[in-house]
Amino acid sequence: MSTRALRLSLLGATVIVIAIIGPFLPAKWMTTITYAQIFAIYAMGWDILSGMTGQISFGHIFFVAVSGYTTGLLNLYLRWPIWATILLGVAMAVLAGLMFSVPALRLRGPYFSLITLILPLATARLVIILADWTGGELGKFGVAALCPFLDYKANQYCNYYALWALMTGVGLLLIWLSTSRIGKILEAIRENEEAVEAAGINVAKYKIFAFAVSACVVGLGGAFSVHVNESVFFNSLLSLTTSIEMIVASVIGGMGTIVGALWGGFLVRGGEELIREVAHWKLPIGAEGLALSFVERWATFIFFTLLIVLLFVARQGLLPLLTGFFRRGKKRYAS
Amino acid sequence: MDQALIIAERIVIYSVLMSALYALVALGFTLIFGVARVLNLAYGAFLMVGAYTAWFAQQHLRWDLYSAFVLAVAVCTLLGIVFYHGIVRHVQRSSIATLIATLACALIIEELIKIFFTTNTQLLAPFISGSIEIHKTTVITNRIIAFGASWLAIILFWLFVHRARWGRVILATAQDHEGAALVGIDVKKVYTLTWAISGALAGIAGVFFASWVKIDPFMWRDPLIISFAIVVVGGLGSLKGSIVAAYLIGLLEVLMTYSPSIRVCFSFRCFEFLGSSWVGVSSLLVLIAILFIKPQGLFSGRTE
Repeated sequence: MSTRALRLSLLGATVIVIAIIGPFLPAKWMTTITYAQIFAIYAMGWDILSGMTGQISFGHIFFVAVSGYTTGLLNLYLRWPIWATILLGVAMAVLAGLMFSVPALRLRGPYFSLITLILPLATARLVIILADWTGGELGKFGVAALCPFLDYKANQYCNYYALWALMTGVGLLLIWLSTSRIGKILEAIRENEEAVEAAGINVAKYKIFAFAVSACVVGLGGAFSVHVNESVFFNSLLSLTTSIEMIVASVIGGMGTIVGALWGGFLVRGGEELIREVAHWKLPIGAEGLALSFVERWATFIFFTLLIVLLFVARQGLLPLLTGFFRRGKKRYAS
Repeated sequence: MDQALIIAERIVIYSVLMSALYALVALGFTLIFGVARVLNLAYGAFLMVGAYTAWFAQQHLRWDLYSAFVLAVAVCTLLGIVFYHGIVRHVQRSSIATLIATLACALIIEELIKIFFTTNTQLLAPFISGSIEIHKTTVITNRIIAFGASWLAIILFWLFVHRARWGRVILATAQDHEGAALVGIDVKKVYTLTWAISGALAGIAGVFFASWVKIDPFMWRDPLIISFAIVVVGGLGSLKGSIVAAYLIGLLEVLMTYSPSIRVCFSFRCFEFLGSSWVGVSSLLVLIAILFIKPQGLFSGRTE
């Protein structure tokens, strides 16, 4: 099976499962999966740039912020319709990506990572300075909802499947892209940039392209998240933790595989919710409150410790691990 | 006119004092990068550990600040060694894994501190309280001590690297670790020593940074950004560049505090352009600008 067919079928299987389980989920988990889908879009967007080219960005939340704030504030103040604000938000994210990519191309390795880490920090300060418009750390409410239904349940379904469609579309597109000639060149850049350059390929052009696609995808997720939340919220649009979780998701799933990033996204968000769920289980009287606070307090700690363990034992990630296992098994059969 | 002169004087004094601390903060960070080529994103968290250790010894164990200071430096030195052998050594080969692992460690330390010491802001009692007046400018005595200690630490470090036997071994390893290994230097031992020194410097910087500003579980971000800014502006791994850059950035920050702000309004919504709310932003923007214009830093990236 070719890489493309394998990844596409894995993506297909995953999204079909998500589509089917939707109606059977309890309301809380439906919300979790809805947000996990947005996060999976971020993770895949991160993966197409950083996972493929090996230029690790710590600040992809910057694109979420650019697109999210553009979308939300346009809708809030100028009352633009949703489709227009999302379009413009994504356009702004792409523009920011392009503007950023040209100088960023001159930076290699750690320098690149440094500047991407600083970008969202600087943006966060600016958002606070402009608090009269942006609402600062408190955010602004009253952005138009993505789904027009009055019924809460209908809205929930609508959000779930709208984002499902978006995620599926983005996934298909990115897998196609990552296994096309462009994707191969991006991977080659990761392995040896000089060699690609020597082969007469314009490395800068491909990197800029990857930047634009990545910013577009992440921006799309950010714009939708604003309309799902019906607010511009500082902690979700500019959280450094989310930025790092994108990396985590991709590393868990397998960098540069797109499907891996999608799985990683669900594992991260689902895992967090699971920890919260476990914390709420019925426990002997008295122990309940204790266990609750204990698990919730240690959740992030456990999460990042697991990440480091993962870096030690399975740096290549889940998907390559599985396919490697599968291939080895097949070889054993053959011989 | 007289008033302007006083303010100018004040800006100079404050920025000279603050920049020394900044240079100290960046020192341990640039050391590790210069020698081991590792960007330690947990460096700010090291400072935080130093600050909390000193605070804990002072507030809960009722130690005086001098012993608390020694304890903090010892804890951070140990942390540096443990960190190197426990984590960095195993992921060092891949720079991506190193960045992720060190950043994850910073967040783990933040989380542990939140769990054990809550998110409340704490204050560290100063070495010597009170303030003195230098030519019409009131300066908190503790800041002068921080200034003196910073320069003392920097000079001692410089002497160690250039005069002491082990310091020169570190320098040789920084220049070419394979060459160093060839002439019989135990590179792993040198790295251990470097991490220990970096940890100790973080401990010293942490205590002074804490007594200068405040202590909370998020305090690691500022020193990390300052170190980034300084080290990038000065060129990664260059001590002289770092000090000059520290003074540039310190001056800029203090200038921002005193610069007049312009109130810009559109339809009843306003924001301040420049002024004290821009203190953190200005250095970030300068950093981004410099990275774009001259990615290698303003000074040569040669390890000194």
